[in-house]
Amino acid sequence: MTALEDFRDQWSQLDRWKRRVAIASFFAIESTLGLLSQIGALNIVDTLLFDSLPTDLVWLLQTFTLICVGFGLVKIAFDDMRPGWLRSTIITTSPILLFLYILLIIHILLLGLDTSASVLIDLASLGTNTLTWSSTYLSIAVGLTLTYSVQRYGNFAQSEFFMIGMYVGVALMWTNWLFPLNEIPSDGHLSWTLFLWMLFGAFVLTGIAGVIIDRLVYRGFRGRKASPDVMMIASLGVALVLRALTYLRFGGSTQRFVPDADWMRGSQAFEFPTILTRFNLGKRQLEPDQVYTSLDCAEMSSIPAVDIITTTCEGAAQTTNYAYNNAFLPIVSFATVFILLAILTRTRLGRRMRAVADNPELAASSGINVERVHMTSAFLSAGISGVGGGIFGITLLFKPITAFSLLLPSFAVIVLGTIGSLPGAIVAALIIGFVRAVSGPVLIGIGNPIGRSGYSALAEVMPYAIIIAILLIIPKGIGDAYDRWKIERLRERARSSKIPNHRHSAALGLLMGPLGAHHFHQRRSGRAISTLLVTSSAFFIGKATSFIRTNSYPSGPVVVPDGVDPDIASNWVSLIESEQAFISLIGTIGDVLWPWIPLLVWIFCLYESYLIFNDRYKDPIHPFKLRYHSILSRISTPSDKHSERTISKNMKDRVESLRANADSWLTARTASLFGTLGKQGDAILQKAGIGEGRRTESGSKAAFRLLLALLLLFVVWLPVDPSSNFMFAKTLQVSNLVTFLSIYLIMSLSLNLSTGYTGLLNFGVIFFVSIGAIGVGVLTAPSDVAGYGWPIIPALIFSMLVAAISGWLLAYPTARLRGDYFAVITISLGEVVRILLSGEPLLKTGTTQGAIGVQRYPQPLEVWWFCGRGEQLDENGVELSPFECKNNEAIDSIARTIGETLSFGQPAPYYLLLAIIGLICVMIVWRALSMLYSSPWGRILRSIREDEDVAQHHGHDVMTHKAAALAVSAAIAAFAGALFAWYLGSLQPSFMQPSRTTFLVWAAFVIGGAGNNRGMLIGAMIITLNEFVINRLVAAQSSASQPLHELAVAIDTVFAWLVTEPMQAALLMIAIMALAYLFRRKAMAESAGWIASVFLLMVWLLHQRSIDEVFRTDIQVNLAYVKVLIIGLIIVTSLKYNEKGLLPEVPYRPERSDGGDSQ
Amino acid sequence: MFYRNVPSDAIQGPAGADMMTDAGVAEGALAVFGMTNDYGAGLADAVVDAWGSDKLCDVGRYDYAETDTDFSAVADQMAASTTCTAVYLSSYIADAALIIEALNEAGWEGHIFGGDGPAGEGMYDEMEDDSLLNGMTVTQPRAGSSFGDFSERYDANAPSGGIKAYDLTTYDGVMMVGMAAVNHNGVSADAGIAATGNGYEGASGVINFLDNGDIGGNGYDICSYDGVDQYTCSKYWTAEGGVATA
Repeated sequence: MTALEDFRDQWSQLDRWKRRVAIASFFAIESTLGLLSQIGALNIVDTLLFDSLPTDLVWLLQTFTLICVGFGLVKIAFDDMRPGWLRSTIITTSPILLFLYILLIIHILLLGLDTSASVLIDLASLGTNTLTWSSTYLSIAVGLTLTYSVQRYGNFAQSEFFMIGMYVGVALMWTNWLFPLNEIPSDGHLSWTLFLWMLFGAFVLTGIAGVIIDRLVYRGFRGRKASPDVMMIASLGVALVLRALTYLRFGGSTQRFVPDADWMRGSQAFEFPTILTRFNLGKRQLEPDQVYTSLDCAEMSSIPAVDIITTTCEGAAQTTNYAYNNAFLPIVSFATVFILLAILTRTRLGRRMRAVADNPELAASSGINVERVHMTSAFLSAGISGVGGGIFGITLLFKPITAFSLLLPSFAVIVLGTIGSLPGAIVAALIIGFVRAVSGPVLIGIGNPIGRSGYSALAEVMPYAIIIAILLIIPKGIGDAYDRWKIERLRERARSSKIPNHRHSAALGLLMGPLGAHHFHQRRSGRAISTLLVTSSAFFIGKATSFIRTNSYPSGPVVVPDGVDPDIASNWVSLIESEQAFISLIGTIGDVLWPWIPLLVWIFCLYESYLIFNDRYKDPIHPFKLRYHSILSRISTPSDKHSERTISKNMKDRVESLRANADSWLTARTASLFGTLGKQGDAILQKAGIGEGRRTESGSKAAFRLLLALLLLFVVWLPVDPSSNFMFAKTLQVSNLVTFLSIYLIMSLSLNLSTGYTGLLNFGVIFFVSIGAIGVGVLTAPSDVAGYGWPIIPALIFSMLVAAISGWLLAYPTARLRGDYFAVITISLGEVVRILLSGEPLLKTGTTQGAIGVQRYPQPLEVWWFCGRGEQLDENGVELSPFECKNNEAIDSIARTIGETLSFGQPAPYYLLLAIIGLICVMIVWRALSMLYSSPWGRILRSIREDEDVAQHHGHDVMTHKAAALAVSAAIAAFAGALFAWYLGSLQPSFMQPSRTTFLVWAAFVIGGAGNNRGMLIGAMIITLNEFVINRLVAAQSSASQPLHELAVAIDTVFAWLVTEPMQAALLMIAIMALAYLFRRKAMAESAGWIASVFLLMVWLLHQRSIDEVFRTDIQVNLAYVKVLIIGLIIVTSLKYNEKGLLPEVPYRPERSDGGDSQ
Repeated sequence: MFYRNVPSDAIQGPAGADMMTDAGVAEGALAVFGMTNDYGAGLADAVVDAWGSDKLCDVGRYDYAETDTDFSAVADQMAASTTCTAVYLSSYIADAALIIEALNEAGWEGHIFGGDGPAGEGMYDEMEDDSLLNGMTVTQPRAGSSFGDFSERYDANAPSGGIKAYDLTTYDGVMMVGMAAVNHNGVSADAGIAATGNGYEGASGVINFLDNGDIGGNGYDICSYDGVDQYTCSKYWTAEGGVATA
């Protein structure tokens, strides 16, 4: 046996943890040597490549490797360490340990770069920022948890409820009755009316929005028993619709909720003592005559590694401010979460929700109204996120898209906390909030020394990195670990014969009764928590009301500040007077609650301690609880009978008879019409070859031809600017359209491979697209703008290879995860790249140092197109640019020839060439995929999609095939990315916004039909035409000479009517609802009813000021957001009414030879 | 070919550096905040180059996206720093207002400077607390002698909150395009605009395009806010003479 085989044998016999530690140690040592002395593996590779790798890239990868080693060690602790105090300690303190470990890595990096950095951390500020971020994420995470628990799917629209809450606050600010509070200048006192109304309004109105969406969208999916993945994708569509509607009504400019001018004053803040800690990393040698000045201005002869200071230079205590407008966010968010926890664990409603979450069928058979529970859950989850959003709106300026940036970190919270675990979500939110808060100072401190002054933008990446790390290390989350620990503890207790000493318990009750200490000692944790809840609630309410009373307008006459309009002044005075009365009342309640309630509780606890001491304890409250529940039952049951009695039987019978007559009248009049139409329709479909349906090969092809013909007619019809040269304008339009279509079609084909054929829920299309786009852009840009000057084809091939390898590497650790986790990881990767594009210098090319984006890269064959063959030089011998060639009539080129032939009046546009390149790319990809799908590999992929276990049993390595599918899909997406880069001309992070790429591709995928390439073409054409028709309408909106101007004006008119006359719209919807009810069209009646309620809410909430603030001059619809609205509606309606798509997958049937028996 | 009748920020960078030196900002006391778009990054590059990248304070250079609205992290760093007593904002009005408020909330007290982005009375409209602008000093392109009656008509009719210097240059830009179309019909737009911008007497001064389409400009006004409602330009800067009193 050779030495190698020996080694392999020994290696495989080692314990898993030893193998892992060995691998981690190897990479740690190798990367450390690389950073410190440039002798790591990557340095050797770089040497072999003649130093062609960027230096920055080498040390970035080495740093990344070391960070991965740290996470790897955490994974070893989770998976392989024996349970015990050491393991528990490591796990509990892992966030702090990882933070210190990362500081160590940065220190090593800086030593290697021969530079230094200071990371300055204000501990109190770190704590308050942690609370701010964690409460922001928690508001959305709680809603996600509820939805996951009760409704069993991941709701990608949860952050939009947060957004609705933000705008409810702003809308309330603009109402006639509350706006005086916002208009009055600062008077030194906080006003609470608008703030409290915002809390109430955000909760109730967002909750109602949640119910409406649940009834309109998700209830239908539940009825059809749709899979959680389908509902998750539908929620994407809902998110787009909600965001688009908000953009349309409130515009895209930033807003802020200001309850009162005094809330924004810097002086309105809590002041906390703090400790400043400066970590001096990297080089710490001083020059001979240099001194180090510490944070308290003491001078030292050496630089300490850590400088900890509690005083200022003047000797005063260090303090930090926490503005009231930021402080209320965690207070309110955590309060609402704890209230929700109390509801879920202590109330009947909570028990019902938990029953439905566990087993809906069993819950239904027990008499629980499951649909009502779903509705309640929808209300609560939306409402809580809405409150969070409302409060968040005070802290900074926001737009509709702001909330989406919080969605994925919130997913990180629920995954880390274990899906369905609220306590887990709370702890996870604090951890992820801490990570987010500490990232800022670290990145700001190290940014400049490592040449990355924009690195602070990467603080946003941290939650995404955490989510990826969590899913790889502990996919079950903290909550699961906590539950297992609780179970283990209960088992130990059950095994133990030790009984708690009742004397000790009594003593605890005497001293700390209000905290439930005696019950904790007696192992009655439920009762203990209830006691603690009562005491702490009284405490917090008492303190809150006292704070409000102290920081509000004092009692007595209200004095109006100078210079205020008299009308506004009088409204303001009456509001403040009402507020004074209200605050006086709640102040009184607070005074009663604290300290009297805890005192009463203490007295009660003394009684309980007495009983415990005498070993005669029986729950004194139990009889009252039973009484309370029986009264509750008696109150709730008669209401059904009561509601029956309120509608007399005769009235009900009359209404029913009217409805029956109306229905039969309508049916009689429409039956023959529908019958005729149906027959004619069938005949047309037969003639078109779709008679057997779209799920046969011939039917599918025929449907495809028909749809394609219709769409092509649309393209021909699409008008151009009449004032321009028609041939040129139409050619440019069609070229643009074909290029755009090619890009999205290739992306759709890529998605079809990974999702349609293999079943991976891939939301990371944009991640792989970006590898292609950024790779080609950076590699081909000239070296004088920070590019590498590669030729286009090698750059393209390299980028596709990198994408393929990324797809392969991604598949192994993630493809075993459940579908929604995989979706979250892949969408997170896209966001990581988008944020990296904002701050990482290796991903920038251009003329300025700090500007982001990839610019100045060449486009394929552009020089040949405009300049012809051979070099074209100017009088100084400098090569002409394509632009200069285009404007030089003396140069003969293919563009000029085509332009003359087709009478453009100028050279043919470059987009014509790009369109041809795009079509060629599409044909190559299409052909390659068709061959793959009809090969044995294609059949294996389909079998994996249908049933992985069966495929495994047949001897197919499922993981390898999934990885291969993802790799090929990634390479195709990268190909589309390159084309995208050439189409855009320069890349900004905005090109990676999910609503511009991922969601569009998913819309094409959903509407076209999963598993069918022809469906992808139809889907891509629909979204392309949506884009171009809307663009045409945008041009027509402001110019009467443009085509489609009348249509644009009509759309603006309808929109203006909806905005200014919501009452009329509501009445119209009510009329439709009544008619639908009469004719027994239940779904239509319900939908119209809900829409009517939305308009009625608009009447109440959105006053003239909200129109004036948003639409400064004319009320015009922003058609760019109509695009988003249409895409969202396409996703939702397609999934709801045509889940398989326009061209469903044709089941593959292998050809059989005639005769049946094998030959 | 691109033409512009506002001077390049490559000139505004040295103007900003001289402005801060004249105001007494010491070496090692300045932080520079810049947006990551072409305007913000370009101006921040020019200021840092003119000031000296090795003469920045602890926080140094801080780049942020145009769409960022949360500056609490860097504000905390500034408040905790013992060296950063001045900040230069290469920003627009809205984000400048947010940064100033964040700095105030974090308890930082220092001198705020800016370029032409946050220049003008419009800053007062953007702030929740105008007093925070007290002492803020900015540069804005200096108008030369104004020709025509647009400047007077502007003073009589323009709404408050605008930046006159930019409105004059915008007016000149539009007029020059029209003039090029009328007076140089038959030649390319490029040639027509180049010809028009040869000694053009506009509302913002005399315009002479350089070979690269830029103008040399008339220098920069150095203006300050009083934190109530005043915005006064008591000094100016020229490439030849540096900072001088108006």
